[in-house]
Amino acid sequence: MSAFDRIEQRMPELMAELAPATVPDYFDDMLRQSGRVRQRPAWASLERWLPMDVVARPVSLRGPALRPLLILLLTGLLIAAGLALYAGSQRTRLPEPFGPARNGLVVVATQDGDIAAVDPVTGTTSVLIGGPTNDLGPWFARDGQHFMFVRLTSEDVGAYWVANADGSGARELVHAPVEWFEWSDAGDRIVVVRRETGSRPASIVRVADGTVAPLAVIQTIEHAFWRPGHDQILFTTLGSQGKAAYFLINADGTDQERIAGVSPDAVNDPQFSADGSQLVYATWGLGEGLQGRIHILDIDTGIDRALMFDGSAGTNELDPQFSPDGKSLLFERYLADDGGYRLVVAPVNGGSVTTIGPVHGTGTGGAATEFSPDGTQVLATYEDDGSTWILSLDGSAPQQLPWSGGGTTWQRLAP
Amino acid sequence: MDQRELVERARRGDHDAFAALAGAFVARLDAAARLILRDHELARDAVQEGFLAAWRNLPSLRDPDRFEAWLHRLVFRSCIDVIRRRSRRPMEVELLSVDAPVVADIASVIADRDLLDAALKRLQPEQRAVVVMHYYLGMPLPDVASALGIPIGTAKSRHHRSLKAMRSAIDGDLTPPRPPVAGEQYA
Repeated sequence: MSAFDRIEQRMPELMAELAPATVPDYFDDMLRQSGRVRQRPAWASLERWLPMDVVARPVSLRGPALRPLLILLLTGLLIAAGLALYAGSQRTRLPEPFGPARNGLVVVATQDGDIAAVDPVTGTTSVLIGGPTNDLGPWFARDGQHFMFVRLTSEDVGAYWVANADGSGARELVHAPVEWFEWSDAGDRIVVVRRETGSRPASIVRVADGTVAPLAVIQTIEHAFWRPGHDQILFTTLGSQGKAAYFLINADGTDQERIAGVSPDAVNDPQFSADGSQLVYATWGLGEGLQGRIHILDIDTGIDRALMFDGSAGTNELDPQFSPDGKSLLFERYLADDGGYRLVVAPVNGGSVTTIGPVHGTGTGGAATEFSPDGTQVLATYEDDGSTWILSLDGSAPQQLPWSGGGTTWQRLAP
Repeated sequence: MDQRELVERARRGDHDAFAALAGAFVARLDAAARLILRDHELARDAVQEGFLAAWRNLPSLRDPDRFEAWLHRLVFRSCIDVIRRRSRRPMEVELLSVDAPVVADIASVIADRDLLDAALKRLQPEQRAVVVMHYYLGMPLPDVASALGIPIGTAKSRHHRSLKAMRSAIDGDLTPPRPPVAGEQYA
């Protein structure tokens, strides 16, 4: 056991020794100060987190005339019937689990604890999961039919819920502190990594009925990913010196094997190519091709290569991911002389790059990014200011979303 | 009187009820803020701002049972605000070069507490916030994400990078989790 392992086990008590919890000497002053401040009425903060078109419109106090109401009702019924027929005809058309798809709704968690949807074309917004609950972290299945989200319970435990794409049928799936989860290709299962004392076990949960099957892996798991086109799970681990290793195991728990060729200096999470044959990841280490470099690994052959793009020299590049068509990579490029970082899209074989979005400060955790399903745009939440943007690769004007903060996900639809 | 009743009364403007609530939480939140900000004065500013915001905005709290999580969110966002304000002036905490591992020689006489203290110093404040909230306050990562107003994936990523940086610091590994561009050091 390394020194860090020993300390990690005692972290809460050691922190309590470092900063003893005593009532601070400024407490009485603080109360005197708050006692002089008037409270803000509840309605005053209603629009703080919600855009205006989501806030309920005032209801007219005048009674509506009967005839227009009937016409409205009939019209509504006709539209509903039409929508139902259309939905029925579309039900069987699902996107392929990997590769380009049509852009659907962007679903976001508002800072008010709701899950909301934005149509990126029209800008129309709607609340999918509302009410007094505190919900966050939406994540669509690859067929775009369901999304998972975290519901914080009164015990401050994050339970994982699943809902239909329109927010209906929400139900609890996993009631436990889950560190990580990922959808299977077909959206019928999820792999979850739980945090338990001294370990991080993984399980497969069936979405239909919540049945849990432990995944018999020995190593303490950091994160887990479903391998496209294979019924396999990739999981990442950290060794005693913080060195990374990636493993594959069948979803039924058999045939665990270490992936050969992965640099021990791998950082960030690896991302699969659409056919599951390659991994892209970044390294941070000492030596040629290791400091802030992007690598692509062929899983079957174990051949790993560090990539250089136009302008790579003198920069550090991290957090890569494949575009839906597998031809490009999106990553963060950290500029020299503390010049901040930019998002960059480049061909997988190297060469000229396209920078998107503005420069942001280096001293944060970068940006949470995701390609649009059709690969023409990037959804980016910048950590330094918390803003969420849709950035186009063709250079057209960026679009800022009205919400940010609790996670975003982009729905995939059949072309 | 239970906490829910205190919250209900405080929402209706009862400052004594708010004082009772504040007294129940201020010690741990002050300690957590000191761990994150590494500075007593800054921690005081952040905690005071957070509690003041809590009193002002209590009427808008929809679910009284969520008071504690909501208070955490306000205080830790104040910490982040303090960090951002502070970033415009010189850092007051000790800076350690990434080329100088904290533990060149892990002597048994060095207490684990001091090792942890040194490792925490090497984290950026945003990373420390995730570590302190997760380990010291026992908050699950989804709650940490909610409290800090960041995506859950970001919280996971920060947690992962923070532990790796701390492991490097404590076990003497030279590999940092973030790319130090020229001239950058880790606080």
